[in-house]
Amino acid sequence: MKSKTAVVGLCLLLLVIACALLAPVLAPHDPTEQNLAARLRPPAWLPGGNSQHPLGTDHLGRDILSRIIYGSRVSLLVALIAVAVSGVIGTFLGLAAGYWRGRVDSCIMLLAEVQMAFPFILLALAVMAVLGPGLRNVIVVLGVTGWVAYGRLIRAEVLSVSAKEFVEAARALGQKDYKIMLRHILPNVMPSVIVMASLRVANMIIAESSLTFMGLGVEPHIPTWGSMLADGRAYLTSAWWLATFPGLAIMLTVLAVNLVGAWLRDILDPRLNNAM
Amino acid sequence: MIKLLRQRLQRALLVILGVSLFSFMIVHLTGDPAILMLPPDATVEQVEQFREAVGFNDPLWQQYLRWLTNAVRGDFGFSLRHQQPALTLILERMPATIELTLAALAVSLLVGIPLGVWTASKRNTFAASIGSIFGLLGQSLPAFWMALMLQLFFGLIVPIFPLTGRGSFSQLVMPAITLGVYTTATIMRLLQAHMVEVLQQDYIRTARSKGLSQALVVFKHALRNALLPVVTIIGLQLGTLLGGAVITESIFAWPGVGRLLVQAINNRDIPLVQAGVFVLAVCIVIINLCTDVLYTWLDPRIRLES
Amino acid sequence: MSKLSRMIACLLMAALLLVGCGDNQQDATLVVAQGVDATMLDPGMHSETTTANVERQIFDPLLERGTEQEYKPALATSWESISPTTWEIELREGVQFHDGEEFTAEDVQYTIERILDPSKNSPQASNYSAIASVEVVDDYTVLIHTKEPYPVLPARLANLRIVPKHYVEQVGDERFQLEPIGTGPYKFVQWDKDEQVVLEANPNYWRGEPAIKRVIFKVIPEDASRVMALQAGQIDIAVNIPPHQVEAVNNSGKAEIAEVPSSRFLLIQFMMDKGGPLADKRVRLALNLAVDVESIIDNLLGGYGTPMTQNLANLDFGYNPNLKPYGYDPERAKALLQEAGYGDGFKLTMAAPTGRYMMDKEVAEAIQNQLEAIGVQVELKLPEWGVYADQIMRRKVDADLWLIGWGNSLFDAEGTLYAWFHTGQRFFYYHVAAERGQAVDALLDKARTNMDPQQREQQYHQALVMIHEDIPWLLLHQQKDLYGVSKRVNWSPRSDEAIILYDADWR
Repeated sequence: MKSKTAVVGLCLLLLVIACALLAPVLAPHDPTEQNLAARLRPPAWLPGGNSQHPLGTDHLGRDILSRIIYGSRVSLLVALIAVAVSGVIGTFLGLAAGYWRGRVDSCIMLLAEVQMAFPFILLALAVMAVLGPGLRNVIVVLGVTGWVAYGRLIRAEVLSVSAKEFVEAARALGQKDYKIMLRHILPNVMPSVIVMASLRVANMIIAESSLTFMGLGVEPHIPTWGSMLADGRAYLTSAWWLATFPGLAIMLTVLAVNLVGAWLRDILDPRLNNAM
Repeated sequence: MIKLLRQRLQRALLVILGVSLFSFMIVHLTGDPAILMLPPDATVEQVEQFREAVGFNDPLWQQYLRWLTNAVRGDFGFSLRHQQPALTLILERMPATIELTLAALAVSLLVGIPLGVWTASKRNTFAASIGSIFGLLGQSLPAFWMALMLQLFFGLIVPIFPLTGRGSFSQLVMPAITLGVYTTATIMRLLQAHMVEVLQQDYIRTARSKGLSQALVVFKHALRNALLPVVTIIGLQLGTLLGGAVITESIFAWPGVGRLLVQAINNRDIPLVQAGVFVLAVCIVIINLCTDVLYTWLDPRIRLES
Repeated sequence: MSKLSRMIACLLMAALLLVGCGDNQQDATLVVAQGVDATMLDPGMHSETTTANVERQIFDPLLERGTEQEYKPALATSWESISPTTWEIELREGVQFHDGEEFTAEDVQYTIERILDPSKNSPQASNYSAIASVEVVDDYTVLIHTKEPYPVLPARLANLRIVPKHYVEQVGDERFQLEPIGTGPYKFVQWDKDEQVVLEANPNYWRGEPAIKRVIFKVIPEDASRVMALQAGQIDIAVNIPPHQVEAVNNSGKAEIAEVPSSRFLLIQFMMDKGGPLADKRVRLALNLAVDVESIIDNLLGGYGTPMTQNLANLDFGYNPNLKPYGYDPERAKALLQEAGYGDGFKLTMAAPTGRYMMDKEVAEAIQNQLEAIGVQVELKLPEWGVYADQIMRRKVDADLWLIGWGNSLFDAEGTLYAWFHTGQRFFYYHVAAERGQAVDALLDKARTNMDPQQREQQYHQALVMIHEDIPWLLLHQQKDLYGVSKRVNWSPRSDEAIILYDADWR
């Protein structure tokens, strides 16, 4: 059962990655090319639609399919970089907290608790409002605020790993702290990091599109799923396809990531099953 | 128990202190808060006067202490746009947000628990896999898109519910579903996992072999044991719901704190943003504290450990 | 197990039944839907159209602007310039505030002085800065002394709504803006923040009791939701209907569209402070020629607009009817760029608001595309309105081109031309040869204090001809405002975006 859904997820995910990498080849049109006279054309299968624009055109006559294909780039780029950034920060802080314990641990965990007290999207919106919109800032905000999930998980893992004999042995041999952490502990917690990261990609895709939807995300000239949804919202009554297809794209991508993540978790780290 | 309570309380106070520091710092991230806080057509002299009067020329730690002491007294300054005390504006809108949050929680419990039980008891059937996929979908849906789709289907195509606003019960339905869907899926999946575990236990088998009906077994014996982990995540989920209300409220024009804050963010109404972020964060800290205490009280194992 | 399924089904049914009991509108109540809530109900301390539309039902101005931009008596019965810098205003006798107190000259003086009081920080202060002092002669006569001759004072007074001195002093500003009383046709009843403001007819109104007895201003932010509510008959007047929804409203059977040429128009301002390509008049002309305003109006605005020829609406005093649009000619635009040495194109940034004016973001995106067709790469920024308005007011817009929807609440060139084209003013970006700039300054200075309307109009016409030649702008269109109006109501919209419910009636 799990493996079947995982195959579906993997196929979907590969499709999205292919879209992102091969956008110029796959997209039938330039995603920014406008044609005011051909605006709000319905999808091909509806009366008034034509095969030139399989999913119709938006309020400026741009091809929706092409915009969705190009939009996958931003979603994946933001999600992957943000996950990498928060993964590195979270792993590092988690390692430090779990290894040194005591005051270091207590400070880091306090920081985590403080940050968890802020509703994530509100925090991101407020910081974006102050920093100003833009692709770079979105990545910074999501990357920096996303570390808590890793930090807490890694800390718990480290606590259990560092009690093991090989760590005690390394310590007894007088190895430096950072060497013990990198050589002995990190490899042991790596599977958890990978599983966590794969699941967090899903959250980051949603977060980016939410921020862009609220007008505090990626720059307007870049086609993204979030901004397509925001634009399409005004046309919900007269042209439903504007907001429907990009939303489907987000949902299917996130679903694919979740399916693959669940599968990874089963293979790499069955213990996590209940933790999440 | 008393000792544990005191420890948790101290920790919560420490967290609130951290929260206050962060809320205070939001304003200072941009550079010059005076520019942000004055009306747009203020002259250079007015800005300078204001800086002096409000104390923006003092060292940062002094400003923080002053902000904190005022905040403790409930004084978060005046909203720039509404020209009323920021805290008043937030408290006025609190009931709407609480109403929505509780409604969303009710939705997730009323839907999540039966679905979780059902999919667990029908393990390895087609129905169960549909249920599992529903759970995954629920966690994969962007809330704002879900909101738009609900508006499209139940507001426009089959107009059952009003698109926006607050007042009647029917206006509560779509926002509550939107906000509750993620939590519903979370509760469902969690309960399903625990139920499957519990249903394999010996005493359930015994109950079954005694000839008790399936429904009785599931509800009376298994559910009771599987519910504890659900109770504990309700607290955490309340915090998530409170935060998620920001977007849901904006889309459904729900007159709550979240919508007020999004408007304040768009208008760069910094005192209001500060106050709102702080108040919501404190609410979440308090909810977490209560959950923590409740959990300790419910689960004897933890009580013994400490 | 089927028991369980049945239980779930029952629960769902119960939920649906509960939903069935919707709410009913009270028939005697007229509901107006706007996109945002009022920020306060104090007429002197805000400068927002939506807020004004709520509080203007509660307060009366000194003069009233008619549909033909003429002035009619309201709380003032006559106004007369008795010396170049003094206006004598006679006030209406026997008018009462909602609490029964008499309206007198003291209230007029207090209202103006309150706005001008620097400690109150009123955003309207600059509108009345020409006033030197207000002198109470007797209970029903005031003299307004201006610093210089000030021909547009009546236009200002038409926007000045009078607050009760006794009440404001008694309850304080903070409570006054929440629970106001005035002399107007409606009394304040209740305000549920971000939801609605409820008003009821003032039976003792000096013009007679209003025909509609109860009024609610509802907040419905989404355009689509306002249209839905109209279709469902839940609201009677809805503002800002987007052009692509016109058909839906007209087909609803419950409501129809009322359109009116707006005093608001869209244009793109050139940031001419910094030199660069925009310092070259040929480039500025090329940009104008590259934008197909007609196509934007036809396609994006559904035809609800007219191309502009100057930065005044044709309703404004001083509008020059002889000016022509620059036209659409991308080939000539390319040739001009070539001639100016920018044949390979160049880069510009452009800023525009979103959701503030009819189709603003769409218009900006279309223009971006059309400029790219002549080789000008445009980077578009879309700051939120709060930020953008702030940048405009502080003269700190961070873009080479920026879109603005300008509306002149005075209906007089004075409110626009002086601020935009007189050296040293707030919106001055008009950098041209020194003697030309001085000539325009001189014309605007003369017109500003000229008490002879005909001469004044001529001076504005001359200034506009010079400015039009210099092309300091990318002219777009004057919009038509679209309102959805329920078929049970008689009401027509006004060019100044004001909603005056005293004029409304049931059909």
